[in-house]
Amino acid sequence: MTAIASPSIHNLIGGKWITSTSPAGIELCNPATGEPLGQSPAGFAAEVDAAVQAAHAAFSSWRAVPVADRIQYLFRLKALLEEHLEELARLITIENGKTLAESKGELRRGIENVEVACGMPVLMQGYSLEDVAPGIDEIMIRQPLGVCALITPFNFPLMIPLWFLPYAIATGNTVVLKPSDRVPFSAARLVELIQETGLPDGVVNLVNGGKPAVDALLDHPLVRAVSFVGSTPVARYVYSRGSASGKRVQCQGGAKNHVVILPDADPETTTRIIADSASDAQASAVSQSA
Amino acid sequence: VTVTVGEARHWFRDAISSTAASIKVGDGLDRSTEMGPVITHASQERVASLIGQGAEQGAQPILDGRGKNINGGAGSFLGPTVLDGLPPTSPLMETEIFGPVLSVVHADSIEHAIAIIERSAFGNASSIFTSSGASARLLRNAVSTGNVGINIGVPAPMAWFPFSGWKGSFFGVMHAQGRDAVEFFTDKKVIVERWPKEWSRKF
Repeated sequence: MTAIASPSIHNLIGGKWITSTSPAGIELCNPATGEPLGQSPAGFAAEVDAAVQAAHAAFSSWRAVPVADRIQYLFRLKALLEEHLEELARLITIENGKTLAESKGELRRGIENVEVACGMPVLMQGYSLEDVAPGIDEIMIRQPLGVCALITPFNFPLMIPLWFLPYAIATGNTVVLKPSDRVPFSAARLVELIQETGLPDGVVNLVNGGKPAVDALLDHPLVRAVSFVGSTPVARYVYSRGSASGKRVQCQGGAKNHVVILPDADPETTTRIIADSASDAQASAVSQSA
Repeated sequence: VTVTVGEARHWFRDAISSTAASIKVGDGLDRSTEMGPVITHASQERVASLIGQGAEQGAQPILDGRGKNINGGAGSFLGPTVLDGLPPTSPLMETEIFGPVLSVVHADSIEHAIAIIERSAFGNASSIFTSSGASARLLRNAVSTGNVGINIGVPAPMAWFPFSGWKGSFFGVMHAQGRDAVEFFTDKKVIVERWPKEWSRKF
């Protein structure tokens, strides 16, 4: 553990790209060609702390930005993601191995979430009732939590970050994204595009690494919520450890999906649909082919 | 896992093995490629060993993607694989393979198929292919999975619906996407307020 992580993999902390000084983690290569792509950092608590502190520092001014103004950054992000669709799809394919069509498909599903989060002025509304007792009114409002950690897997390098990030920031939270150490490059490009929207520094931070980085996020007192997608054993671990330190946690685990074919199904369309969905080589959590 | 009910096993076995065999495997950057590699060599070895275990547990590999020379030997590839007749009690039924392996198990009836689904420790999604609304309704009502497909292969919900998941596939309350995401990323504050100066409380 003496080598330093690949200098091409950086963390974004408070709006500044910083080369990780973490010990090296896993070696990366293009799964289709074996070509080396660099070395992921292992990650360590001090780096995670810097990212969480930056997110925490940005929170009080970001939550005060009106929601109608917050979503303007998401409209810009949607336009940038469309403009860079081909480039982002190639990055996903190079580091993950899935086909360009699959990479574009996952980007499309990710962009949908950006679009939905643009509706936050309506989605975030509470409710109220006048005269719950004579002269007394009752009002429910929704407020952001603070620093949210997003820990995402290798099988959907950009869709899963976009399952969470648009909603987290549109509701007024600040974010530390920790992508899978097997696919750091597409998440880094996503975060660069987020910066291009003009989003204030510190609202979205990126930290790379493996288990040491995850543990540091789960234990950090300033992290209020954790969103995770991965295997069932790790999901259970993240849920237990995050909850134990008082955080709100959502963890999507593994899948073993069943497809039932009845004798009265149409043979041709059934086979075509199943072969098509089963040709995802990585048989990921949303595919039933495993 | 595909669960064929009754006679479906015969036509599905023949149709899937020929369709799967024609899938073009290679570098995902090549636009004619229909399926890419698995993520690492370690993953490739793991999946290959799981295919071997499936065969030992009684499945017939009617299409075997191991040991194929794909993309000139570079990269971590496996060809499409179909394991036909995996016993429903096989440990492989509880293993997330993360590779291009379609296991096929056989059931006598839809009730039997639902019982097989319910044995699983996972609860991400299930699907049914049928022309019977009543059968589809039966499965939709009975299964413990968070997402259900009816004549849909991968029932991944659109962004304005939650991506659900039950049992070992999800820990927590609020799911990703849509209104669940808004709920997850906000906390509720309830204000009770009074402005008039007169005392209004009556007993």
